[in-house]
Amino acid sequence: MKDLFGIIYCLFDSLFGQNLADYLWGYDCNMQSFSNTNVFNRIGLLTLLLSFVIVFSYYYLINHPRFNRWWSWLVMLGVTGATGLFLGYGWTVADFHKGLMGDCLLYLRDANGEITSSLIRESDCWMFGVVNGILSIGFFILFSLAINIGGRLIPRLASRNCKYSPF
Amino acid sequence: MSKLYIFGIGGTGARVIKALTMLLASGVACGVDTIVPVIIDRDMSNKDLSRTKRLIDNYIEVNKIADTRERNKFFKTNIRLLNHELCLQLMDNTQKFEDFTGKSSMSRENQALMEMLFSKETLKMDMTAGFQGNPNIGSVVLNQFENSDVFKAFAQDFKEGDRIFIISSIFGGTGASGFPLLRKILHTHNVKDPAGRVLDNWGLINGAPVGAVSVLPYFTVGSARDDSLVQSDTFIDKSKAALSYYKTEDKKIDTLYYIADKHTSAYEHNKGGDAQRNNAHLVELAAALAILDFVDPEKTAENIRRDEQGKIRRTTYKEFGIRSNAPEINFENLADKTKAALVNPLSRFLLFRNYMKFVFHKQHRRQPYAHKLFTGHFRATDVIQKLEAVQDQYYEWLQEMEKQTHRFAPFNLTSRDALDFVKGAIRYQKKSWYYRNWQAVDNELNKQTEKINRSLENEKKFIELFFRATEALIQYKDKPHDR
Repeated sequence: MKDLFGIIYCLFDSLFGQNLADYLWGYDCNMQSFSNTNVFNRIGLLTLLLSFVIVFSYYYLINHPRFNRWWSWLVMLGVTGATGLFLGYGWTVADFHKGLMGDCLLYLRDANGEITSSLIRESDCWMFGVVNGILSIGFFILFSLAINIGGRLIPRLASRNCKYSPF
Repeated sequence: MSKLYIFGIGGTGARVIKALTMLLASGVACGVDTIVPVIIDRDMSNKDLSRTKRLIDNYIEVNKIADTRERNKFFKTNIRLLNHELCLQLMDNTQKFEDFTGKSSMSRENQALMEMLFSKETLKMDMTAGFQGNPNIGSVVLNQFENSDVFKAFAQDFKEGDRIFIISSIFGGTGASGFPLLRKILHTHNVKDPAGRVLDNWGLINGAPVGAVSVLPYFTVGSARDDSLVQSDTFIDKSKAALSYYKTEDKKIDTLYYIADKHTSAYEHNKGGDAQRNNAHLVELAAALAILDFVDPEKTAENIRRDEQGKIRRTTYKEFGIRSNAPEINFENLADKTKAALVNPLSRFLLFRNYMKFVFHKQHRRQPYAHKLFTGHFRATDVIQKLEAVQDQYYEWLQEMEKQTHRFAPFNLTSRDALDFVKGAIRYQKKSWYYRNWQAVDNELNKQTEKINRSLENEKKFIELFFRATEALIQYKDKPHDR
């Protein structure tokens, strides 16, 4: 269960690269083992929480009779996707610049220790952001479905103005 | 299940019944479950009568979707017609007065007497369009109520606890003559039908509480362009003469209401028929309020003063007054009790009408309250069409009262704002910064939809929902004025 987020993110690891994935899994270059904190879980949980907050805001806080169309829901979906993208990118790029990623994951070096190529680039962080955005959209859809179905089963819990948006 | 039988005599009778129907449609409280209106008019083709008939027909249909077990008050009071007829048809439809009296077959002496009593114009008068302000003719011609089928149905239908109310104007022909005649028949013992059988329940009718409103002059008419005998110069004199006669009605009526307006409106002169279409007037609204006052359970002790044998101890006389006068009357000018009775129902029904006119077509496909309930052909269903027809008539009625010299204009009828359409210092509730204008109404409809009984039919849900939403949005609480 503790690897759930990592497993989900790694369905798309071809997009952001194995080395970034290893960093996020918690790979420690010194120990040559996955002994560091699993960053996937942190980002995943935060993304899940953000998606929930946005879905909840849409259905229960904004809850407006002029913002309850399919496109209103789509706008919120877009906001969630963008938030997820910037969260994923921001988190990884900050770690990248702070030097938190182990050297063995960042560079390929020759026998003299010279860098021959970079294994993790900023573009990989962007791609991870995209994957996180996709994931946040998935969470958003799941939460929306849950609220819609829940509202139909227990009407007093349904959103007043958006209960049929978008389904 | 108490009923009130209302006899509306003449054009004023029809217009007061129209005003009462508007009040009932908007949900003004009524102390009886059922109203049974009967209009007595010789002029069956007058436009005021046909407009009232159309309104009542629509009301009766809409009343079927107003579930009395629910919270809804729109159209709550039943209106029922006797024999499905609004009008009491007089058996004799002779056109000329002299033919009605059978003058041609009278002896020469009697013919001479007739010519002494009635002018030539009166004798030759065509009564198709009523009595044209001649109560002396009315008192002769109308003396045949009991022969009509509707009157027999009235007797059959009457039950213990039911009441009777008579509406008439004092300054015309039909009303001024019809009122005392009808009152007399109601108190005559053992009234018989043409076959000689005593009408059913007549004893109950003899002893039933009777209220009446006599409308004094509130309009004048221009000069006649035809052979009409109606002259507004004579209205005051006729009223005086009738009032002196009405003195004899003391202790024969439980409560007698007098309504008048010195600030008269001038109407176009029409003898009657299709052209007689007078705009609605505050006085008619006041007369309709008199009917509701008469059946107010809290006022039974003051309205019906009878001894142990059931005889009227004292007739209660009432007049309608307003707090302050002005050429344009709004809610602020009305007395506190009148204002308290009218502000919420009239405002809520107007809000309902305005929503249907301006917003429903845009929002019903988008709002949860209408989801799978009020979409598709719902609006085209017969009963909803009739509901909207009543709302159109209601709006027209408000517009007409605004057009009078003494205007009743409580609302800004051109306003398209959801909750800012009342004139004067009246405020319904604090405005929401978040749900603006019609958004507040949609929000309330979406909120109230969860509170509706799910087992109701869609049409019943619809009226219940709109009542609850408008009730939540418009909750004017009267603060009595300092005296």
